[in-house]
Amino acid sequence: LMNAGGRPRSDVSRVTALLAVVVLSAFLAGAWNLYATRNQLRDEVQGSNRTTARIASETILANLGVQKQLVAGVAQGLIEDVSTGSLGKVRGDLRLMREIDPRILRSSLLDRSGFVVVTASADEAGDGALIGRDDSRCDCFTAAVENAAPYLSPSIHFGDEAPYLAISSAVRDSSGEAIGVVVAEVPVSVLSLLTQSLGVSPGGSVNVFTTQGVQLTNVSRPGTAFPNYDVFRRAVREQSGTLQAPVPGKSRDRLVAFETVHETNWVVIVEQPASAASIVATTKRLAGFGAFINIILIVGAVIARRLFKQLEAERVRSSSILDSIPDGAVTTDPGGIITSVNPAIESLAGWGASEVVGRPFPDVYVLLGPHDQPIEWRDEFLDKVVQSRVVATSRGYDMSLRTKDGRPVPVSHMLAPILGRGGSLAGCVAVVRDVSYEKELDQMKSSLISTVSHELRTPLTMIQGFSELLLSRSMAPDREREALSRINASSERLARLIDDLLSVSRIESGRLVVRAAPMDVREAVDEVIAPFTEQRRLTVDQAEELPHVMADRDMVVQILTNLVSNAVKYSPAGAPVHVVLQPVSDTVQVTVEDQGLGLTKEELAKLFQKFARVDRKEVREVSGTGLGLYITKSLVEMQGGRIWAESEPGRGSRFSFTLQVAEQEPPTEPAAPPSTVDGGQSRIAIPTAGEGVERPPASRQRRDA
Amino acid sequence: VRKLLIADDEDGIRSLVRMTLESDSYEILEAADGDEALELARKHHPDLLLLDVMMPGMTGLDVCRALKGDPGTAHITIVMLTARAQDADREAGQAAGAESYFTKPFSPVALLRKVDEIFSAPGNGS
Repeated sequence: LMNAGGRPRSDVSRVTALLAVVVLSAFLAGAWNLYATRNQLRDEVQGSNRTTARIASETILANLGVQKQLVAGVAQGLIEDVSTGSLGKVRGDLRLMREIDPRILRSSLLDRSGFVVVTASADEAGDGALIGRDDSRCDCFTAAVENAAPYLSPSIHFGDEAPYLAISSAVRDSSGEAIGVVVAEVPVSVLSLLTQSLGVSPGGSVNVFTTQGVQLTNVSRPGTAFPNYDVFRRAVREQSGTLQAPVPGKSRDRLVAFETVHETNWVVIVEQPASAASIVATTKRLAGFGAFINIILIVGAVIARRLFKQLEAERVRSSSILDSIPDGAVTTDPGGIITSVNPAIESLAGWGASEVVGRPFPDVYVLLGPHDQPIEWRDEFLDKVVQSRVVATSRGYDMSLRTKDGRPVPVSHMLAPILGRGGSLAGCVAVVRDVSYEKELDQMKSSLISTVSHELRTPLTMIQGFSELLLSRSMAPDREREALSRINASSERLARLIDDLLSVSRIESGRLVVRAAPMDVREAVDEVIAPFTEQRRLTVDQAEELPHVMADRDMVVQILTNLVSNAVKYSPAGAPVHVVLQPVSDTVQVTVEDQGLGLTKEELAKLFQKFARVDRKEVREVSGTGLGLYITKSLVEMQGGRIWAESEPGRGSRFSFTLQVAEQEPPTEPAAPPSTVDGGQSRIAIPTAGEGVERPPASRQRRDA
Repeated sequence: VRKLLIADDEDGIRSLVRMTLESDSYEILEAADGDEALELARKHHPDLLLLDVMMPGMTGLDVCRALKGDPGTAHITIVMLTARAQDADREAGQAAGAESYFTKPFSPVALLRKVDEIFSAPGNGS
């Protein structure tokens, strides 16, 4: 109920909007009417009149429909109060109805015989006179009792005040019998209000008549019937139509459109003077032209807006691309004047955007050659990029960029023309990359090459030198023997170096494959120490229960060999070497202890690096490639273990590494037949050296086997 | 008898030089690193110093500069012995004041010839 009051207004605005569209389209249609005949013009006017009439009819119906629903709702709500005779409450509800829709002049309750029982109106003092009035013969009573639906009486009622329309609805008890009727009186002037909002062209009008020709709108009181007009004769037969005929109150021929209002004997008549058609047409034409221009303006605005949005998006996109790339980027106009810089070049060169935008590019960003001398590249820049429109790069040259504070930063750069539509030069873009890291890598590489070549040349020098001596002169037998043993030792050293270099290369390229399987570490330790036991006292300490580990046996043997031979090499003859095996959480820890020279903190820090050899007089005679511990560390990490060293100068060294415990003991039965390729082992390619190795759980491997 | 000092951290190289040059005409002294080379050079004033560049601690270039900067030892003829064949190393040796250079791997016969050449050159030797 409370919501019902909002509806008429929203309907009106909907109708207004609809009307605006209609009028607009009518005006639009007018634009195309420049050479139309008079008939066509008339038809058009009539068409538009007809539409107006239909809208008026619909508006009236919709409004009265809402009021009918309101009356029906109130009647429904009164059932209990009427059957119990609570007239006070009935009056309250009737008042409420008027508050909901103030257009209702008076609301009343008739009893089952048609007598007024209760009434509510603006003038409550006068209401008393109405109580007891016999309305039993009014159609508002009889039709309401007969019909289940709320009833709008088509006749105009004349009370003491304004003429009104009566809307009524029966109050029915549970058996469906009418125990009363609620009547709402709506002034006829409501129709005028509803039709007023519908504009027609000058000289025309919108009015509601009864089909008997009684005018209901725009009159103070409905007057005499004028049924003898063509429009009413036709309205009785047809629901809607158009004609050129006189109407009541207008003597001349009019262009008329009519539309009857459903459920009533009312007809909406929209009329205009016939002569107005051409004026209307002209007006419409002008209006249409105006609308046309408006439409152009609107479309233009829409397109402009979209273009602007696109441009904005494009600008945001291109600037965000430039801003996001980690390389420095500078854009210039075709003349080489800086138009934008990205944050990367700001931090690389030290100049903020505000300091450089608008300045010539080569003046700001000074490039330096290999000896930090400024490179004259303005001409090259202008010629190559601006004139020839080719991409210029610094590839192959050692170049630096001079920063704001004068520091050279190694860079590589690329200059490219930005070509606009049709290949015209729109500007240039320079991408400047900080290559400090690459340069550092390069230096590391060349220093590695120089180290390796030194390591290779030394044994080679001895092999060549001693063999040449042997060939070129006769020597004492002891000297001859020394030369030969030098040659032999050098070739062994060369072979070992080549082996180690190959291992490093395989480890670093990830080509080394770990074939992990459950294995007994003790067994591997025994195998490794056997050849050393002749010259050295080697002891092994082992926890009673030592679980098997999951590792590549060949690699474990290599790890152990490196550590044990180091321990032997770097400790005095006769000093024992001790190997300890113990389980630590889910690993087996292997420790190789010697009583050798020990290591300083600095030496410990570099121990596992490539070509890191301890440079001390005491160990200078010990041969080594400087790669052994680097390889050892890589191999341990490939097994998923870790390696570390503890030492102090003069107090020996302890090298320890861990291996993961295998989840199950190996089977006691013979190994799987060769038909299963891996036979319980898993091949794992190592992505890069030093990275942790992910391995499937041992239990799964067991099942696979 | 001319005194000849060989400074190299590789004992194989020292042994090779010794075997090549040891004779009635040359007395060979050995140094295993830069510090020892400097010490022996100052003490014995050898006629010729065969100086390895890449040595731990004080490098051959350091030793060369130190000896050439000292009037007492500046007269010692220095031949840089280097595994590096690059021009930059040769230039560095020259800048440090070395008279000549010899690259590894070297032929003992060529070394002998070179040493004889140096000593027979006018203004050299005693």
